[in-house]
Amino acid sequence: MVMKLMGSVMVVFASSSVGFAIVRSMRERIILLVRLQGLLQFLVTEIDFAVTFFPEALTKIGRSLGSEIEAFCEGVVDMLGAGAPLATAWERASFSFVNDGPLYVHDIQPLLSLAPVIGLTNRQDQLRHIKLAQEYLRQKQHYIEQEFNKNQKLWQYLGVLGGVVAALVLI
Amino acid sequence: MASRSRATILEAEVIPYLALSLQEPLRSLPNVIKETVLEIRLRLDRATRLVCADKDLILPGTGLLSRKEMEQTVQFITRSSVYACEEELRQGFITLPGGHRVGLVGQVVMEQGQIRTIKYISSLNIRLAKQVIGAADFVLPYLVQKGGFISTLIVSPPGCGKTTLLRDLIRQLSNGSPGLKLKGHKIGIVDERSEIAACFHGLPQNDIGPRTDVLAGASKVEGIMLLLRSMSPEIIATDEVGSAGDITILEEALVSGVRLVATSHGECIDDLLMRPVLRELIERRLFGRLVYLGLSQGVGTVEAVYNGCDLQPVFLRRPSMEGSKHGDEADG
Repeated sequence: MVMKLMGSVMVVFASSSVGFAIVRSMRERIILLVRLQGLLQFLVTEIDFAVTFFPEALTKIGRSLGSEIEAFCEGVVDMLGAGAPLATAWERASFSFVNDGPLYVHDIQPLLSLAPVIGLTNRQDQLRHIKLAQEYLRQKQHYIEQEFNKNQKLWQYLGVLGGVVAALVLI
Repeated sequence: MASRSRATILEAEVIPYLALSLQEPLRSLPNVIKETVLEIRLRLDRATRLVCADKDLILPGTGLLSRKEMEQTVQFITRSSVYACEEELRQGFITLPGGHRVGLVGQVVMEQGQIRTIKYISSLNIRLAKQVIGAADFVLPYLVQKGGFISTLIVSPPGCGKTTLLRDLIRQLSNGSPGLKLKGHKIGIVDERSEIAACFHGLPQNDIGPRTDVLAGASKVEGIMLLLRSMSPEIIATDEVGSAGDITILEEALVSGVRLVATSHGECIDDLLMRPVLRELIERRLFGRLVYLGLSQGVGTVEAVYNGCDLQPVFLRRPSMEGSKHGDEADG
């Protein structure tokens, strides 16, 4: 009986963890989307006011927006240093948010759409494209926030209760 | 400033800015050729050419230049930041670290009658810069009187070393020359085309002396006024004078007690007198000395130095003088 109880506790704990992990992942997605908007806002400033060269701008921005953005900026700058075109470097680094982070490919679509133009056109055009990508990211963030508010409790309860039901069935 | 070989400069400061597919063929060129390279010419759908001191040749190991190669080169030259080079693109050239100038042409976009930018870049001309320390050693004594510098106009046909002489003159005037009892002067350069000091991110890439201030990218008229107001220079240096507006502003500078050193295109002194604006410049005696450069003994040969007041030669290179690049003093 003791073994069964211990097993049930473990099942409930594992199932609850899954529920909480899904919620945490959604929260991280939102945070990262906000940071990506910050990255683009910094880029707007560097391009529009300081007219900083792209590699310097990324190095500067990377230091102030958290580890994921720092890794992204470093990735782009390193690839540029190795002779890669900016479009390739930007695209590859954007995928790091999917491969090593909580985002999905459709989340980074605004970043991917920037890849062919980033750095390669005049200031006005750069600002137009970046602001557009920023807007898409903002919409994406709002959508996930709504989902989060709606489903946060659902995932948590589902995790706990799913575990309880599984434990009862097993007992 | 230590003098480096042209091959070293080419490898360290120019090749990294070319498309990856062009880098290795250039690196593997024999040093004898690398030492003579003056320009690298990239043209879309045509072979990459090297303009050397005595010939021009197709870069071995490369085919016709593709659009991808051109775009990659432009990307490296602009450091993936076309938006940061808008002003340079408008002017048609970008300066690289080291002072090398990249001229660009392609499809021009006009706005209100002025060039807004250049797109679809089709040709690039990468011109290697190499400062010649000591280029003004010979001519400087003719430009100094009683320890003071005399306003000077350097005249020559294109490619004879006007800007090189001007640059070294600036360096020596800024340093001062104890041998000529010439103190170091405060110099202001209006570097309209970034050719004299070759500033990159505001930092002069050439040695222009310790007392020299550079105003890069400004027009002569606005630049000279700004320098007069803000930097109180003793000498103002500028390149390529010749427009009607230049005369007024140069006169303005002279009235303020500033001496001038400038350059102008001209086949000979008589050629200057046939051009209305330059004739006026000479007739108004804005310059005390006119230095004429030619190619008789190679690039940068001082053919003559004239007194700006009476156009009598202070120095005249004798045709019989073989082997001496700088010739001898005139009788007058």
